[in-house]
Amino acid sequence: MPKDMLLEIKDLEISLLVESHMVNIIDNVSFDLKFGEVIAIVGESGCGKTVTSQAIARLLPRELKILSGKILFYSKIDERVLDVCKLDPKGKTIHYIRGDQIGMIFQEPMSSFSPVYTIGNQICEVIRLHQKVSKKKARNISIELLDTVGIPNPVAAVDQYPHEFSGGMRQRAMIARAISCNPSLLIADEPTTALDVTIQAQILVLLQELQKEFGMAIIFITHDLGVVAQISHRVFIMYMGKIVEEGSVHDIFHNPKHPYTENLIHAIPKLGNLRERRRLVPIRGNVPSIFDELHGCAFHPRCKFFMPDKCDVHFPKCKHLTSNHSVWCYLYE
Amino acid sequence: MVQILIRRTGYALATLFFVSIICFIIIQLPPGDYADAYAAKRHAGGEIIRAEEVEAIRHQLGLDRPMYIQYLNWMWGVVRGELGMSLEYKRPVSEVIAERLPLTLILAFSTMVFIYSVALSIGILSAVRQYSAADHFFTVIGYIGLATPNFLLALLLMYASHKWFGQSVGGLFSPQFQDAPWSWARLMDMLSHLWVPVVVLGTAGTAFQIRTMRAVLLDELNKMYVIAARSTGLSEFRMLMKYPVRIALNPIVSTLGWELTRVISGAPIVGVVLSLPDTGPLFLKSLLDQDTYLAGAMILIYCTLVIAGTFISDVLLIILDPRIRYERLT
Repeated sequence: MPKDMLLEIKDLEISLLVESHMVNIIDNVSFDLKFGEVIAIVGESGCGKTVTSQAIARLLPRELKILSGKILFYSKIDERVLDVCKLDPKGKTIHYIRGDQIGMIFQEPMSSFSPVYTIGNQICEVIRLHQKVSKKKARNISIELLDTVGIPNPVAAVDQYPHEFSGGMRQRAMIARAISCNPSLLIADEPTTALDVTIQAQILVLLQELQKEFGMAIIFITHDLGVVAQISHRVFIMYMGKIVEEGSVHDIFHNPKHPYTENLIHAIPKLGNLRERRRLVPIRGNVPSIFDELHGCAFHPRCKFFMPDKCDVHFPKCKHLTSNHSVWCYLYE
Repeated sequence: MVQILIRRTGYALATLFFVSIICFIIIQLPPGDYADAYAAKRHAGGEIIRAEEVEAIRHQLGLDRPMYIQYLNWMWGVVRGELGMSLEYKRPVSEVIAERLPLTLILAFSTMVFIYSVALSIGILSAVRQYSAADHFFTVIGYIGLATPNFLLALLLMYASHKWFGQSVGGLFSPQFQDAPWSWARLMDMLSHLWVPVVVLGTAGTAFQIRTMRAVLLDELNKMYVIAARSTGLSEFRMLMKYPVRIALNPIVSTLGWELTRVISGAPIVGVVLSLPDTGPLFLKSLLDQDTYLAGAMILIYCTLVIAGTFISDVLLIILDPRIRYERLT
């Protein structure tokens, strides 16, 4: 792995075990992440983006198994590269990576904290788990963190319970907990989906500021391209467990190559369109079920450029258009 | 918190007052009174008793006065700590009960400890290892436990303890300790007998609580905060205990009062079947004899235990869940 790489995922395959059947959820996914880089993984619900992110911290539920591939992560404590896939998910190593070097925030701020402990208790716990500090010190760090993420009156907030917080405040507190040990990687799994639009914008700005201040790398999991445009450096478009296009934000928005990416971009409402009374263009058809056996490119039943005997036979090879813009589609072969 | 406690205590006392009235009425409900029961008994023994004699006994005991006067007299005594005279034993009720009540309390307490220590650990194991061999095994045992009537289980266990452990059948003491003063050996002897009634009384409750713990914990394990807690790097065991188990305790704690009710109301039957020297057989006999004050005092004590259990479970719940604390305060 190159020196400036924090994370490198190689040919990751994850399967779902259903009554002794194996269904591939993640198929041959590869990507990498430099220190301090922000990337976004975009796709519809069920495309495997959350599974990918949970695999990085080995938080997959029991039914999901990593079949093959590598997840290489530079651990700053060991000062070496670890293959997360090879770690025991209940072992020591993964436990000091989680929370300490990989912080995570989740989609539902309302239920990400336990309702029976104070916010402070749940943040201090993480700090004291990974750092040798006194209770009092941990409490002070928690107050500072709450202040950093923009919670008003952090001294009082530290002793409050989650039900006394609004959704946006809880997501801020969640972020405070995730960054409490200064992780080198922050995984944000749809952090703004459950919030209303103004709060969404605030949270994104906050994450951006924190990223600049602490310099951690962020993986954004989202289905919202607007979020992506605002914050990330590189974008990966995922469909049915495969990456179909990757590129810079500029490439993806202004020069989308894969028909799926193109369709996604057209499905974003724009203010200008309202005046012209132009309708949004939905992607025809539905996301297929993971149990449908689709050969070739999984998007072919919904694709207007579908080429029989080609698209439905083998998955296309990667086509590098520029040094950092790649697409997996027969249109470009 | 103090305010809630005061309010709760008020509720408990009020409940106790109404319960005492109901107790008294229920005892008076069967036709006849102690005088009739006494006469019938003497009659069965071949004596001839004249109506005037019965009336005299009745007047002497105050049983001919209106019911509310009898109640007030009784209640006034209870408040001062005097539970009245047992008509059958011709001794103060408090004395008669005091001999046997400690054993009932020991039995109820041990049964509760048994139910919760077994049910919580097995319930957690069953949920965390869902569909494993252990889970299936305990599910089957649990349903058998729920479905087996107490008295049948009592008979089976009595047989087993006699056959394989060579213990004397029934009672809480071996013959040589029956009337011995309390000593270490006597305590040990009692403990070696105690497990039979504890298992009999506790099996159904244990099975029920295992099902509750398993079901609630399975729900909680799928919640977001569990994954979130896991993502902080907590070890699995600490994460389990601090996060989902703590929440799953809520329904367990809030049914503590019912469970105690079940144990206490099941105890007399088990006591009779196993001929334990606790309050069970005494209670049954006092009802048959229409021994008003003894029966009344016993029902009152049982009710007090149940109300105390509910009170304790309420307080525990308030300590356990800040959301309840918050609601009640505002």
